[in-house]
Amino acid sequence: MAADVGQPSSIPVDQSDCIIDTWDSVQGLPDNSVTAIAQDKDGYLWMATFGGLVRFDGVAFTVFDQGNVPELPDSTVFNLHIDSRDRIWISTGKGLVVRDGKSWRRLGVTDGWSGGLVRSFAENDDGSLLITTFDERLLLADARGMTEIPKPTGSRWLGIAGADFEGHWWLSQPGFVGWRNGSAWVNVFGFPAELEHVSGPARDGNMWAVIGDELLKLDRQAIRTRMRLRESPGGLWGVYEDSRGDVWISTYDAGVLRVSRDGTARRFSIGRGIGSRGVRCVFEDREHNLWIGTSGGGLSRIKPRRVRVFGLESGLDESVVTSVCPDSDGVLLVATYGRGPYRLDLGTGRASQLTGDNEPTAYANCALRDHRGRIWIGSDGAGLSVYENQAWHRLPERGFGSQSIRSIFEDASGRIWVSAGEGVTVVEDGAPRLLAQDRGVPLASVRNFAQDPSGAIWFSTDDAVFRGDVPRFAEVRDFEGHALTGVTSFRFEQDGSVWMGTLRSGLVRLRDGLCTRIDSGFGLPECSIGGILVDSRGIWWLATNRGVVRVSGNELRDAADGRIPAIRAQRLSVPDGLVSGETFSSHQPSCVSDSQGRLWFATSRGAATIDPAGIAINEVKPPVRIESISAMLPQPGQASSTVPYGTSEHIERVLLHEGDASVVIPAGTRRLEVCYAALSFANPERVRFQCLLEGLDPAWQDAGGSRVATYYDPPPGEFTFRVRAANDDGLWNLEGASVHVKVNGFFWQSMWFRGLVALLVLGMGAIVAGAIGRARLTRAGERLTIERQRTELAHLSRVTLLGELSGSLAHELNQPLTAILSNAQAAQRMMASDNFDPGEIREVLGDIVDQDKRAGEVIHRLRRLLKRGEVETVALNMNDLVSDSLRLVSRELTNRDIQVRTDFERNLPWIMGDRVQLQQVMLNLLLNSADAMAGVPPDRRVLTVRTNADEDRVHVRVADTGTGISPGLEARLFEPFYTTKTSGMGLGLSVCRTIVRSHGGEIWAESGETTGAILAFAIPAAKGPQPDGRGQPDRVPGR
Amino acid sequence: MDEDSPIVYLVDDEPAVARALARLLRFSGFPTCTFNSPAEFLAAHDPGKPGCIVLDLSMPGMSGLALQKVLAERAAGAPTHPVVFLTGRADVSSSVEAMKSGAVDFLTKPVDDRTLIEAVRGAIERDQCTRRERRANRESLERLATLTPREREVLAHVATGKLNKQIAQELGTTEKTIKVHRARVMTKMGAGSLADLVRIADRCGVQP
Repeated sequence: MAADVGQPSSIPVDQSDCIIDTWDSVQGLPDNSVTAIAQDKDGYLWMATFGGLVRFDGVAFTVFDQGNVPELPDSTVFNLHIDSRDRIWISTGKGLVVRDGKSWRRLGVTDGWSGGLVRSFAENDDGSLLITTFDERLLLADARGMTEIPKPTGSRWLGIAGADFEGHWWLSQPGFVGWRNGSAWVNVFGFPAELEHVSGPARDGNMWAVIGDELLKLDRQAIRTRMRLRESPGGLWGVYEDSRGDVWISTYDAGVLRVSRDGTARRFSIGRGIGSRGVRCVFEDREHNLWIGTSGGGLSRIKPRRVRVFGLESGLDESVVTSVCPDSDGVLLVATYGRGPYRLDLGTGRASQLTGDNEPTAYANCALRDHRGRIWIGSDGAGLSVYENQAWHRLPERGFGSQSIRSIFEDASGRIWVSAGEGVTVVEDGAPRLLAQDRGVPLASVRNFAQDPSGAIWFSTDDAVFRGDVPRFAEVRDFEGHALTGVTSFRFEQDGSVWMGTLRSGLVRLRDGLCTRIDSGFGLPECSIGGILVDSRGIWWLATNRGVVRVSGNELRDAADGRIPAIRAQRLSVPDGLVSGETFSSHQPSCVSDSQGRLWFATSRGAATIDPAGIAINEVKPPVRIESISAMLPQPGQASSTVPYGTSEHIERVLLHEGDASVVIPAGTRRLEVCYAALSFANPERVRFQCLLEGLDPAWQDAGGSRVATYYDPPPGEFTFRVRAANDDGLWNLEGASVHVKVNGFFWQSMWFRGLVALLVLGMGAIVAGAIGRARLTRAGERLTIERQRTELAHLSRVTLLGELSGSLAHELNQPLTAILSNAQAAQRMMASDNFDPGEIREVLGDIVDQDKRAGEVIHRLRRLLKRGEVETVALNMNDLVSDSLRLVSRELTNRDIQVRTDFERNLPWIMGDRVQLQQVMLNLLLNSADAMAGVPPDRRVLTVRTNADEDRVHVRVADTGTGISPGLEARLFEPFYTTKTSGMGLGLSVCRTIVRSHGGEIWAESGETTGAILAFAIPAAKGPQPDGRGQPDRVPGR
Repeated sequence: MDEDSPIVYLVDDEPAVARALARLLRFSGFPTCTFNSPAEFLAAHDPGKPGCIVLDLSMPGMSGLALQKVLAERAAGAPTHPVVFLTGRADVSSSVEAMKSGAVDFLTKPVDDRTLIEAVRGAIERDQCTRRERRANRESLERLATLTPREREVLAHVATGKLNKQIAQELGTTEKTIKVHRARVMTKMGAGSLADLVRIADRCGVQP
């Protein structure tokens, strides 16, 4: 089933009484032609479109077409009807289909169906249907089946079927509108056949007909009302009466004309809120939203506008309204931040700037009309001005804490109270007086002034509330002595209690010193309250930054007294007609009611008004439906816990289809998703949900507006999933919907299996422990010769040595390998291009060969060093041996920032020895010296290798610039297991001593000439001339 | 090659390796420039041109990390070329250090062509991104000049994360006023959100 989700697009319409939202293919409609709309018993809206049958839940469109319903002969749907048994009759381009629950049945000739496309359906109170078709047939479908019945005059004209409350069939066709008496047709109103006609049922049981440009209501005897329309409706297509008694005449070329009882007409068409001139159907749902299906213009919803806004289009040049106040009758004073004060004529809806001599600044914060008719304007930075006799007069600066006026208030005796910067100013007889601190007036900015029924003045700062009058004010605290902070507004009640709107804590009631807070815990949707208005019916309207909140005063009192746990509140915001939800102005006056009971709010996008008497609250409990349950499982063969969520290794399976009462979830399910809907259409985005997985969740979980509940790794067991919803006006359907969920477990998730595994592990442990013990005994029996041990030790020591060098050796190997790989891949890329240069390829191949040889040499050297085996005594040149060793560690030394200097005596006598072992000694000395320099700064790390010969020995000295050797420790260095280093076993130098001694030589340590240490060894020189070639170390070409 | 097309600077003490990598990159469409020692590179390097650096971690004389530090010091706060490190042995401490000082990638030799190209592409993108940002910075400074003194004051306070209420108190006016100023500042500064605005203000060095 293809479902799509989309927010409707609101088309701005003129300041009228309704708000129109439109959905089209962008929001998920399969086609933009909606030819019929009906609501089923569950509450879903069904629509016929040229792209299939569509079910709508307010948010998502679910499309039924040939792709998912094979019984549908065609995806083009021309008309539909939902009968009293909740069956859906679907007229497709290739025949009629009836959907009954989950079954779909196509009607054929055997059912008596002989028609083409259906023009109209009518249903009688006994459930039989009268159908007219575009191929001019008239069919009666009742318990006996479907039969074609004769038409009034035997004509072949296209007719529209109807039924009245008394069970009589009606029909209109050219020249005829009348009813069926037995088997004969009675014409109630004959008219010229060339006039267009359309008919439909009236809510009082009679019939509506539109003939030409006349609207008639007929009963079986006569015409009851007859009205000539002031404008021609256009090409007639349908007529529909809504629950308020308005008649909607839809046309195929001029939109839809709404005719009210008093005869006033309003047309909705393209450019006036709906998407097309061709209107195919009008339908009112149970919540009284009107739906309009159009040809090519999508689906539109018309709902009453609850809030009207006067902004730029009303003549204000600045949309930021800071303050509103009733002026003379029918006029509202509007202060704008940017263009100063305006007068808004409520009759015409036009605003005009309040001009005069000495105009105050354009940045107005507050506007107030006092009882004498003077207008006070408080500005941002330019002080307080009063408007009288077409001229402005600015009050002297010294009377105010600052020239930025925040609030203005007039008390019962006509004094003007002003908040500007720190402190309070009272204006009496035109003279401002700044009240000083010693009168109990705080040195803080005042938000709001009010006067209680006893005449006392109250005002609030951010940190406290004060009460009193000139000359003394006192802070008001609760009986525990806590200050009342963040109060923005006051409301005094008959019983002496005071309600306060607050910045953060919702509403607070202060009664007998006791504060009771009504906030989100009681269901108040907004806790930052800028102002309180109460209408004549006792409904409270709270100005907030996210719309106006409506709540019953009685409920608030009941909640404060502990009689009810929660209140029901509605929020009026952008979907209701506000341009901006910000109705919380920080100025006073900013929300007021006028003499006609209308409420006014200053918003950041115009002055907004609400007529509390004209607002209908949605009292329809939203039906809740669980639509599907799907499980995400690992692919077969995947271990469930090793696969992360959401990878392609998972498969999604829909397990529950609509109408199922229970579902079984397979073992190993990683994620469970439950999709549900609440069928409330006025403001689906405001519908709120709560979910409960009984058996797992401890309490109901708030799901907000989300229509899917997700559970990860559900444990095995049996649960009940419940969901409930509140409509856009906060009315809960507490029954909601539920489904039984059984989650299967794997066998290994059961207790008996886990116990068995624990036993097995213990048994295995015992067996393994026994085997290890036996192995140890066998090894202890082995004996090695001392000689063998020594070579083993030397070898082990070399391996350890190479381990230390592994990093640099890896680099030695990596360099040629890198060059080879990159060269080869470069060549591949070259050859993939069309015009590569063979010369270049040759070059690349040459480089590869060179680098490969180089890698081979590194490996060769390593292998030689790691060779395990008998001592092999050959003639050697010590200089070559030293160079070779240096080459092996050069990278390592570079990495350690060590400079190497060599001082080789030429023409050294040759020696007899084992090359590998002597090289090992050399490497050990080099690395030891390198280690000794780890603690000195890099620029002072110098390693010097010197060779020389005296009469009978060849000397090698490795000098470092490290920390040196403590006196007395020189000899101990070569003892086994002696080490000054934190790593290593301390075997390296002792093995060196063994090797050197076995060569008849000597090894020692001494302190350096200035700093550091010298490690040196000497090997007896061989007698006689050096043999040619043999025994020479392999020469390794330098890099 | 056009003046502003990005260049990959390759620094490896092994001429054979540098040559091979350069070949590979060149044939994948990246103009390259090779150096066989850090010193050689430092002498020729122009941080003003777009591009990135592919650097061997261990080189005699000056290690890759040291070179990276020198580059950062030379740039003195301005963005430097992003560095892709190549190393024969990936030990944790040096890779962490390299990443900390702004390396974009840390690749082990021998490196597969796709990995290298991917890393180089990423580095060049990052370079282009920082260069774009610098340009945006200049633009922001120009926009900043269009603010009125009052708006600039409001911006400075907004940038420190103060609430409208606090700002209102400090500037002796109301939240609503601050809100309006703030909206105008947002429009003038071309900021789409508060976070955006704070970022721009931060970039321009606006302080109360």
